[in-house]
Amino acid sequence: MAAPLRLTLLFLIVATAVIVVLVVILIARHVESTRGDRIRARVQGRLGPVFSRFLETEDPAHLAEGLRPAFVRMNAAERAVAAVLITDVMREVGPAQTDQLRRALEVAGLVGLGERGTRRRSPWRRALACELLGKIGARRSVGALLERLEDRRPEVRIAAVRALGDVGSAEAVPALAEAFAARGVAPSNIVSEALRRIGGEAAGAFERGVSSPDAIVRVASCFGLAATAEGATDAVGRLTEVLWGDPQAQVRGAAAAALGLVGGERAPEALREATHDEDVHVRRSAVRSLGAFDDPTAGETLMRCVEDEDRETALRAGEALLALTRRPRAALHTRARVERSPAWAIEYARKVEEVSA
Amino acid sequence: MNAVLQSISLGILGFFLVYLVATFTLLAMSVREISWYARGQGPPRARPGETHLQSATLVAPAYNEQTLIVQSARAFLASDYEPLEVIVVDDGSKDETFARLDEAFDLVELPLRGRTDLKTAPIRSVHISRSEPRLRVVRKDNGGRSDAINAGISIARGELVVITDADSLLERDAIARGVRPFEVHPDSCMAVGGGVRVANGSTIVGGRVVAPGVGVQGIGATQVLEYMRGFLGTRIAWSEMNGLLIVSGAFGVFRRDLLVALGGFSRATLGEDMEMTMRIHHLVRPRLREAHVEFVPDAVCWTEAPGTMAGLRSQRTRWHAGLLDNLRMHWRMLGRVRFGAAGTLAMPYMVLFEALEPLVEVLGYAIVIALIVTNTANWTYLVAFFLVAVITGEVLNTTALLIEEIGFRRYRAKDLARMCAWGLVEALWFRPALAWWRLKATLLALIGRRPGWGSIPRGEAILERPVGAMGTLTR
Repeated sequence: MAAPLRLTLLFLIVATAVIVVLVVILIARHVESTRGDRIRARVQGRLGPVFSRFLETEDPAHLAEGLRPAFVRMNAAERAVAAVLITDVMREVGPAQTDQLRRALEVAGLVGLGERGTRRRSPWRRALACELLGKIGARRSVGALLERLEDRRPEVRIAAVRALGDVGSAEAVPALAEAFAARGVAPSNIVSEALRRIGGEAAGAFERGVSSPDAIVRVASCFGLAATAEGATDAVGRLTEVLWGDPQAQVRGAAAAALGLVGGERAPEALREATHDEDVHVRRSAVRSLGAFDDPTAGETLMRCVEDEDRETALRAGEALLALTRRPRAALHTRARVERSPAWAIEYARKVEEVSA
Repeated sequence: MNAVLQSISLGILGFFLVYLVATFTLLAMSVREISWYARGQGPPRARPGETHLQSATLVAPAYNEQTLIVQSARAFLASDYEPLEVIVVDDGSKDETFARLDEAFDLVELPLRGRTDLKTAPIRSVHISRSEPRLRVVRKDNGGRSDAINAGISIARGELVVITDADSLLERDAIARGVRPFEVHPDSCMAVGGGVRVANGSTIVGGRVVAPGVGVQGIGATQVLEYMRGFLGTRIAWSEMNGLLIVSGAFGVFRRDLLVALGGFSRATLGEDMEMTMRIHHLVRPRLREAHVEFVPDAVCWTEAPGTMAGLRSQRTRWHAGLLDNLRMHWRMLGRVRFGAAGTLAMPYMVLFEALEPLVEVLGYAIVIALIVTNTANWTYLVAFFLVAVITGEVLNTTALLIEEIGFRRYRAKDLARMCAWGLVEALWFRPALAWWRLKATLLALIGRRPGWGSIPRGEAILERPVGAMGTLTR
């Protein structure tokens, strides 16, 4: 037999063998997924009554007693399914029950199981363990999660950051603040979200962030400051400085939007000024934010903005004006102007509002 | 003569081997990445104040879509993403498209003034629905798909724009999953492509695919497999390398400000979706190194594939003409390091294995015919090479099915077996037909002609039937 033909036949044999192997894996995966359904049903059958009893009695000790033997009997696959089931239950119950459930899960050993999971070899298992710890929200797991901020896989680091936000412990703030400023651990938006979930204790990170050389950190910091304003020294002052002084339009736009969320006496003045900004994104944000204040002087500014050459700014101004007509102080000054105005943007907003009502 | 044929044959063999190495590398990368999807990633969380959760506008151009339009609009509105605005653009339909929408959604006209961001054929009116206030309907003069999308973008108020077709069926969580990369990378994510699957043979209730399936007909089943190979087999890998050159027009998410800054979708090509993706790489990446285009396979949109060979021919000829247009328009990216993997890997792959491949394949068939006619064929070799082609194709198909099974597990064993079976015979009819049509599209392009949009009968495979009649529609 000629050499090329031998080579071709060899190729055919190898390729056919590859197909056979792939088909076997395919069948195995398919069978496994069917088995997965059975495991889910089995775990549900074991844990369902335990949770139902807990929801009736609200007794965490009773729940822990029920969970512990159930966990002991489970294998690794069943425990993973149980973990998902538990996080589903935690989403459905109220804050008081969540706390009791958390204590029961700690006693039953699930937190320890999750902490061990964060050191597993497979990256997605590590990420899943982080996610589980975050959902349970036990403060003792902060240490294990902080370790994962240095994981080599970005997906695991992101899961750890999110979980730290879910736990909401101030203990994680220094590490998260560092990650927020450096941007190497996880995207700024994810870290900023975690910091915001922690609350007022994280405000310092955002106060520093608005001066970052990195525009995306400054944008995230503006929204972060708005969400944690109660913990900041002077959130409105810092945001106003950014709105007036930042060279990047996207950051000024974020500051204008954030001011609308924070509120405060000084914000409307800064926002009125921002409606003159040369960048449409800043004007759009400023106009929308102005509608959030009960400010009698905003009406005049917004009446000018409904004629803005940018369609979206005009539309937002129309919506903001309608919002002002419902505010106690601003209504007096705004209602007559709005009713008299022939501006199309006001007519548009009115029609949308009528239909939506 | 024999020496020439032998040289050409060796050239084709070399081409085939390079193709195999490149495609298997992409498949291997996809298998590696899919494990993340196997464990399921949740949609983005709502944030305090919700100002950071980007608002989205879904834009669906519709031309003569009276059969499906109400079902599709209801399906779009059933999306679980908030805040969402849905804009259906009636691109000067000659049928009852607008009347059906008006009847179903009780439309009210909105004032239309102010400057729009993109230039389009005249917009006649904009309407809002009384029953579904998130729905807008734009009526405009006919200007083609790109023009209709651009009109939708102009009217859109969301920060993100979701582009889809009026006859596409989006899964409830598709938008939430599709916008996830923008949440993670708001500064650098430019566009996101979703996974497109073929709905032919699936059970559809309430504008949703409730039971994915594969029909018994070869044309539908082979396309289910082909889409799976394309979307799951290679796009995951291209996305990982930031070399994704196409965000499918059936389902893509873009930043609105970027689309406006780039002047909207091009009317100069039949492959406007690919052109926009390539333009993003071409114009944005040299200025913003981190800019990237992502593919999210678990953000799923179902589409109807052509159910006849004539429909398939029309679609594939158009696609290939679009591909050639786009490669011509953006050839400057070819091999250039400043465009990253898009220029150094994806463009050469597209040129070699998409643009030139039909030529090589048809040349191969021509040589075989020539050898048979001149009675100089070595039948042992011919059969062996044919088997190589079939078996190699089946390895690719099985790997794609494995990726599907690891990551999504949507199909029943019967459907998987059916796809495997049709995959074995596709080299006999499907691939030669595609190669021939694509070659014809190339020849048309060379003489300066291009195919039109043609008319592919729509709605037969994905139109929802009364429950009692479902048995005849589906498996």
